[in-house]
Amino acid sequence: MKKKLLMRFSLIATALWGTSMCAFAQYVPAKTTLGFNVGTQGVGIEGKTSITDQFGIRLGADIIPINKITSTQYLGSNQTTIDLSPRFSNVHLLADWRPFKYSANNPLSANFKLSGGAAYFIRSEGSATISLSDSYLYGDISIPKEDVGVVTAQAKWSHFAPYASLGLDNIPVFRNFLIGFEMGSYYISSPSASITGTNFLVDNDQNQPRLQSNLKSYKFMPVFQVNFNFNIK
Amino acid sequence: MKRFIKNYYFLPAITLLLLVSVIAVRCKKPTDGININVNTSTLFHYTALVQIVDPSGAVPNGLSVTVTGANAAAIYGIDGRKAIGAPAGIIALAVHPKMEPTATSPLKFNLSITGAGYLPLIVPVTISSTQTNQVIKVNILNLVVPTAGVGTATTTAAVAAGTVTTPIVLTTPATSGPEATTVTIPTGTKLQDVAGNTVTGNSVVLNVNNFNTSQQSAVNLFPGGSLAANNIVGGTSSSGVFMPAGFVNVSMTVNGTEIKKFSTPINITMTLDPAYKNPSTGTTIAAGQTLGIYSYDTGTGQWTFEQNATIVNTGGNLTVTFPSSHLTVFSAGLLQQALPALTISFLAQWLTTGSTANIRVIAAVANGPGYNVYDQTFSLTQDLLSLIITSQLPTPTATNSIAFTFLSSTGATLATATLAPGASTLTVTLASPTLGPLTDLFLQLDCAGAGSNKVGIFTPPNFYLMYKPAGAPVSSYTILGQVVDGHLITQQLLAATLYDFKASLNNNVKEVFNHTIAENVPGNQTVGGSYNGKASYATQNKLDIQSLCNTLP
Repeated sequence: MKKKLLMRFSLIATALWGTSMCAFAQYVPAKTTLGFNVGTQGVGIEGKTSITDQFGIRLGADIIPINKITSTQYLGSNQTTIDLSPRFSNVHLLADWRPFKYSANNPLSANFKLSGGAAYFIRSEGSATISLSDSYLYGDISIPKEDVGVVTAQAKWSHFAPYASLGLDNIPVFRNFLIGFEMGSYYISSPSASITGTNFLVDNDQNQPRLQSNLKSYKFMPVFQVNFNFNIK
Repeated sequence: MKRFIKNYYFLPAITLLLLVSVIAVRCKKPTDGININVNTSTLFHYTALVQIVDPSGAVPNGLSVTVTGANAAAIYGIDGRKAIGAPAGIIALAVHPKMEPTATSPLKFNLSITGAGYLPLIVPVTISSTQTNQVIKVNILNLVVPTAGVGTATTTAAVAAGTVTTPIVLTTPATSGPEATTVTIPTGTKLQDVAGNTVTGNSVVLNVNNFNTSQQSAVNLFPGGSLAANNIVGGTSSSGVFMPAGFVNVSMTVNGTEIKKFSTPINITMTLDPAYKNPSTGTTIAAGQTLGIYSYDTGTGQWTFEQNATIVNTGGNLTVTFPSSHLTVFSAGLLQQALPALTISFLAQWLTTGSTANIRVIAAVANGPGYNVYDQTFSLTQDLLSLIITSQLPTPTATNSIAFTFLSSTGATLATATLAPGASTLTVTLASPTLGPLTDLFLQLDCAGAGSNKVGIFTPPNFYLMYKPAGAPVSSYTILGQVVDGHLITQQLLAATLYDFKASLNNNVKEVFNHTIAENVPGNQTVGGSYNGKASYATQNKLDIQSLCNTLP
């Protein structure tokens, strides 16, 4: 439900951003703004201020507000139900650099920015609770899936993550209401993975080396986000 | 250049987008190669192993097992299947986890065991809430290969349309004593099936097996696998412990149809063991005394009191003769009151914590018949140093106590004890047997590459591991112990001795030969292929029960 809401919200925001692009709204230098954002990193709030025309800093926090994503798939010979729970929240401090000044030939040039900084992830982990989709048949004995137990796979990333991105921001839509777009990535290092099982699934810790290997390349947390800001100064 | 950058500042964005996309594509799916395995090793809380032994020395193959009785629905093979097998006479049973016994409601059922060349056998089994595992050893009569102490006679006689035209008399040969049985079928007797219908035919095949109770191997074949019974119809008691002075199996077929009844009674004369002592008085039987005649239905396991028969001196031999209008197994002897429960507590300081030792418990009436009345093996640990024998032993009397002998797995006597009248407990100090090094047999299944739908390391359901000295006959296999959660810790195996091992998972059996426990080192403990990605070890050096992977449900 929350996922759908997030998607709808993103679409509306994108439409607004498109509208503003079409309108060729002129660049309005914004000194200090407060706003919120939505994207792959979740939802968040952010305050930013310009130090010079080309440099600014941002302080914000994000959280992924999704409790559970459920899917089914075969793992080995058993059909399983997987409840995925991403747990990511961070506070970040970023610096923006606007390499271009405003130009009438290219009205968005001053909205382009390159950003860098770091985040401290209060939580940076994901867990998957895996259970059998159906009862387990041992010979002629049916074991209810509730009795079979669950496998919990967990991945934990480092708390500290550098960040780099580029984007457009401070695009006015209405008076003092600005929109922006940003894409980049946090470098969150390879996670440490663990698997534990309960009841009849207790032996599945032997999958841990495989999971660790599979997650080895999950070092980046991509960010595609839309920002909505209000000019307060 | 600067103008180019100004106009195409979006190019880095596209580049970054592509980069992130590439990273995303490069990422493996987290669940790649993950196999969720269900470990059912702890599914069963109650198991039993019934070992069917052919005392002739042959290995009882081709046996069929049917579970009957009030609680039959709760009984499964240890692989969870309803179809229960008995490969090489080993029946591995388990109780459905939702139908377990309670303190007030033990599970009771019968195992009906049949096989070509074997006398049908019914084994009554009780699983109480305190018996999480048990081993029951039962003997079955081989009708083809002679067994010591069993005299067998077979004849084919002419009949007319199912009616005996000339008297049929058949006597079994004596076996190391005068004990024998003579069956006499008078003229005019109509041979009938179980429904009472005369079976028409021109010849009848009569088979008589006389069991000489002066020989233990014959007594071990007493119907039901135990001298105790709790389902006796008629007589003075519905339960008790039989003390047979002789027993006999009489069977007859006409054109392949079993004859079960007769229009007029036939006569059965049993020549008894002259040294048989009355378990109540301790005196040797004599002419003029009476014995109870009981019949046993080999189809249902039902005991029925038939009559009392007076002992007669016939040509210097003691005999009893009784008429019967049906055929089955007959026992002549005395019925003793069963001791409701005997608790035996052991002191065994030599038993290392965590390890298992098998103790064979043998009981006999001190001044009664010469045979053992009880003979079963139990696994002891420091956590389980007591056992309860329920309604299996005769109650000791003022003139007759019960004598116990406790043997190690290699047959060494560890203790003896006597149960006096009125006692229901025994405390026994066991001497130390010859102990091998403390060995943890690690028996998990590495199913990698086993060709089954199982991938990975599995702990099999708790099963019983059997062993014998390498090269000994297959009939020498004895229980080493129960493998619990993949482990069996024991000191019963000597360091330098070669052993053969056998694991049974219901219908599937795996044997390995010529192994020493010295091979059971940390790098070599797993059965099957490699373990957790470690290097494979030569098959020769493993208790390789990998083939059981295919049998796991």
